[in-house]
Amino acid sequence: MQLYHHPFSPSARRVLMAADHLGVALDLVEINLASPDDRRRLEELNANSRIPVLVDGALVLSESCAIMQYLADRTPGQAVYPHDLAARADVNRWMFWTCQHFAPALGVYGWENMMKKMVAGEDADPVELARGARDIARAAVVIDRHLATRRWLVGDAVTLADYAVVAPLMYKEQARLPLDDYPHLLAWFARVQELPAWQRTTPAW
Amino acid sequence: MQLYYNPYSSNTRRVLLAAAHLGVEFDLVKMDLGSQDDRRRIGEVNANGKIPVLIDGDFVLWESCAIMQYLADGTPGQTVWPQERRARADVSRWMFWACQHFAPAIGVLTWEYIWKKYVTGQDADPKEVARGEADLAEAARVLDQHLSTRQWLVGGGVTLADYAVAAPLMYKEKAHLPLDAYPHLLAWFERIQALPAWQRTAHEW
Repeated sequence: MQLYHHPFSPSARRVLMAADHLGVALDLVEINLASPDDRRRLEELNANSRIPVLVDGALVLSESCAIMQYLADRTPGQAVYPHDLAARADVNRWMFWTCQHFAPALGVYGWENMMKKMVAGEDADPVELARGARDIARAAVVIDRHLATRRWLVGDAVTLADYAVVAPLMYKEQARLPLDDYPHLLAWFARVQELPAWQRTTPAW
Repeated sequence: MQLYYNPYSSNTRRVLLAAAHLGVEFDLVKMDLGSQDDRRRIGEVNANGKIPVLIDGDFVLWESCAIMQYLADGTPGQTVWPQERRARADVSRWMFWACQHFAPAIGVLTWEYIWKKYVTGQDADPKEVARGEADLAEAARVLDQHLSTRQWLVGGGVTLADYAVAAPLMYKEKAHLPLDAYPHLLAWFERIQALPAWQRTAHEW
């Protein structure tokens, strides 16, 4: 299986962490989004022009969370994507939640405070940062409250939900993510950072 | 099972479409987001303060797409959420894509053109409309291209993917969604509208 990825992409990081945890070996194909050639190769695979993309024979799969689930489903004996109906729904819920709420909010900060200067040469737009801060606060309070009584998002061990939600926090410092008011979220992030799957997929900045 | 819902919510519509297709019945509990009492009741079961919320005994599930999958997983013999691993990943991919790209773009336009006036008394903001239209154009192009050679998003029949992606098109007229340039998307939406599940869950404005 090939994975088209970039080491700085938090969506790719989700897949890398899941693969690492599951012990799935992937041929990594690095895609530089600033290169027209690489963008064309990506576009040929995925009309969405986004990474990551998994190629497994005839299956070309985009959307990082769908790839994580697929890798887990093809791994016998794994425990990060439960088989029990309610537990699986609980994991799915957090994966959808992050795609819809948490990750896009963090992405606004990632773009404005980190990527924009590199890609567009422009400074951060205060109006966009305010929109991002408002959306981050809305989502962070939900997860902070949830984690006040739990070590992991679902059940009593790490699942795909933790990896999916945590990935964008990889640029917590660089993007100056406003998360200081959420102690339970930060404690959980510290736990995730202890995991081998996090440590082995951390890029050199 | 109870479903906290509102007939004008496209995320609710996703669950209603899946339930209608699967023949799942639940007690519908209508929530008025303009009512403080109802907002408090929603907050008690979902810290996000959003609908739909499914209550199945002591299991409380939010995130519309996770609810759809949970209902399908509990229905023997269903075909809208395939058992085969690759087909399931394909359906899952489109559901994540809808949550991350298509529905949020439409959401910007429904807020600006439909809800904003009710909630804040303000008119649409041209900058926000432009942002929503640009995001929708990008997503609609992907969907249109995919549907140029297919009747349904995945495989030869309707799946949860179609229902999840199509639901926010219930606002097509009211939110002035600029979709005229996407004939394959529109033809697919016609097919969706001909389905019993769509017709039985339609709501008069």
